[in-house]
Amino acid sequence: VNFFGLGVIPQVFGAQTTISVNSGLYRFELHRLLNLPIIWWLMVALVGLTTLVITQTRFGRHAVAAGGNPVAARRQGISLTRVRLATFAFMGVCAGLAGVLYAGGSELVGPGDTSGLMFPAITAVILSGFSLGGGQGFLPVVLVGTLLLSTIPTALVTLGLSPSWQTFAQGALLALAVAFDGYRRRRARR
Amino acid sequence: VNTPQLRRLSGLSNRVVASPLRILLVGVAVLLVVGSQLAPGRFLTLDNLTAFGVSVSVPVFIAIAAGTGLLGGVIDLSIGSMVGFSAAVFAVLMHHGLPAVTAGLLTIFCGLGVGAVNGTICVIFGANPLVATLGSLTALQGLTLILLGNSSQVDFIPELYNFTNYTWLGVPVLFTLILVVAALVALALTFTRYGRHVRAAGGDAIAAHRAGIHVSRLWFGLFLMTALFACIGGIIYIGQDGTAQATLGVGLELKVYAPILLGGYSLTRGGVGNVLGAVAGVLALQLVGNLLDIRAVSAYWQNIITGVVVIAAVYADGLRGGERFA
Repeated sequence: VNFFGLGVIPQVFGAQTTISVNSGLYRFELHRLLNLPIIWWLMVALVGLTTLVITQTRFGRHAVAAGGNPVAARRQGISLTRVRLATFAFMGVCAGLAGVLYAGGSELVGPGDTSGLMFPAITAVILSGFSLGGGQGFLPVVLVGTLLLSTIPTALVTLGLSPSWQTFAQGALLALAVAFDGYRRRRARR
Repeated sequence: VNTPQLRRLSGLSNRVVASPLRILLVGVAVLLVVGSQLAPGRFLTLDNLTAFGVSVSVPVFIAIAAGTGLLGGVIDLSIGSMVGFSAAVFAVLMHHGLPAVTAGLLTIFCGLGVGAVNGTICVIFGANPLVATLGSLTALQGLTLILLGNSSQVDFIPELYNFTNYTWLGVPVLFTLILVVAALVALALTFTRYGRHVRAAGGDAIAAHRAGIHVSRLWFGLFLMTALFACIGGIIYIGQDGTAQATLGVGLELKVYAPILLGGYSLTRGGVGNVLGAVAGVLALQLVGNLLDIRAVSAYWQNIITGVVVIAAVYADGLRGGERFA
């Protein structure tokens, strides 16, 4: 079982996009013009840049190879240690940036504020076609996945359900997304 | 990378790593001595140890199931929320005036249903159990909130309270019973055909399949079992506290999985670890928590300790020959 690999990049990267959308929305209500574009464009730029790095540079392709088939990648002379260390470091950078943006977007920051972000992040990433097996997926799709996910709370409120249903929906959606991922991978193996 | 490498275990540090149970028992002994020095007259007293035995009962009980699951290669993170969920279901059913036995059976039925959903997602669809049960953990937490609203159900059941808190000469009866369960599970895993099949499926699922073991059915059964144990744990909590709160069982999954990893089970491969290690691991970590509580150390430090324990245990597993990431 080799999860992550390339999968790692978008994982917390999803956290980045989720937070950007959220705090963007937050600011949207306060300052209509100035802050929304800046933070939003920052997100788009980061997604675009990372997509370029993954598809166009040697390092990016090494990361995809290491995610798709670690043994083969190792035999091709790709250092798994180096690729994975770099991936983890990149995740840390993204999460740190997201933390700064989040702190900037809200007045008060408490220790439990971001604990709920992991689920939408992983769910969005898997819904967007990334596989827990690694080596698959196209980053810009994550934007669409996040957009889709962020409509769910609104939809639930519109339907007149209590906020507790949001927690339920998040978890159920994550389980379903992983089930779909497993089904997809099992079919791909046949 | 993917083939587990069996390294030669030699030297003092490796020998320590090689026998998690021994180091844990030493650790528990050291903790008792250190504790009696740090909090004289409050830690190593009959009162405190009795209260500790009562409070540690449910985590040990669930750790038995979680460990057996890991042995067979099944990870179920939803056990923590499952405890809260079953407690909520039980409290709501009791509140509507059902007799305790009927309510208990219905609750267990619900729990098995959740276990079946977990099993379907992970075994039939082939989802990654670590992430899928993370999803059902959240979903169950949501269901608990929906069931309870913002209030907590209070239903005092005298029989259950007396049974779960009963002590005989300072020895908590429930804790003793759970140790008996642990011993029975350990015996069953060693001496019955089913137990050997669990070990085999965890050690190498493909080889077990070729040897004619119905691996997916076995895994499904293990999901049902962890759900069942967590469910019973929730009912025991109701008996002990008399209330079902939405926060019951939150974070319990880490408090169970961290010590059993320390006790010699592995997240990345099945077939290793034994029930005694799980029990000793839970006791050790809960003793640390108890000591910190007595010394009035912030609960956040306990989170940090739990996290460090998980990382150390995973690292030790790598040294013992578990799968290494890079």
